[in-house]
Amino acid sequence: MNNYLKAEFSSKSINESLARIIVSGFIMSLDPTIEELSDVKTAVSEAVTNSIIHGYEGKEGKVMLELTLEDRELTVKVCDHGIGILDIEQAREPLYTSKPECDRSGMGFTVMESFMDSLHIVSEQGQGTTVIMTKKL
Amino acid sequence: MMSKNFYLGKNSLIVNLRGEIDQYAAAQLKSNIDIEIENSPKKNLIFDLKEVTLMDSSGIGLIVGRYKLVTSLGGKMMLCNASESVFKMLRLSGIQKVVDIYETLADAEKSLSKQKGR
Repeated sequence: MNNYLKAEFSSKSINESLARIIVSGFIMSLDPTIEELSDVKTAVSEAVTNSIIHGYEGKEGKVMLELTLEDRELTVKVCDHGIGILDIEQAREPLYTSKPECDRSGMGFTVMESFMDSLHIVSEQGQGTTVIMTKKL
Repeated sequence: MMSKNFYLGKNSLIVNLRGEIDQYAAAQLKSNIDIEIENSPKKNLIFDLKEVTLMDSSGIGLIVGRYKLVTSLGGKMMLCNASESVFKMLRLSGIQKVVDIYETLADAEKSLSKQKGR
């Protein structure tokens, strides 16, 4: 079954759980395994947290979550209009964090990459960041 | 909703984490846990993850930050009761290289009493 959903919410940390609930509900009809569900929820949590903490640096903004299901392949798009990423390759390195003082582990993109089938990052400084992930369910 | 629980074991402060540990939860928990660590009569810390249903990398940041504090105070930190999905995150982070992970709370406590006897 093909399906589509688009949600937009404030860049507040409390909305990380909202984003996880939305994606869980969206894929529930496919009867995913507990592991698949947990992988997708965690990856979405990472992407949304990045937008809130790094994209907007805690300032007010909007985060867009777009979900597409096509032949059991889930595509998750998380988009912000924040500060963007200066060096994507560096940001993708495991354990790299631009905010070591904030107890950030630097694992965000590594988690997205490991828990999903693919990860694509588009970012422009001052314009924002879009993260696109796919996973076959 | 996430809540926390602290209690003293034989040789350690035990923190019972619950629910989904994301950036929001970790930020709320961080200062409360640090106050408990600083006021605890026991130097060691055990994170009991039995009731954690999801942990993203913010949870790893929370654990690593507390690990640094506990070791700076001369204590040892350990984790126990991780579910399969939580364990997957722990393993990916490589945290097992510096923090011992036990299957049960009893195993974690036992390892501490053994070390004490040395």
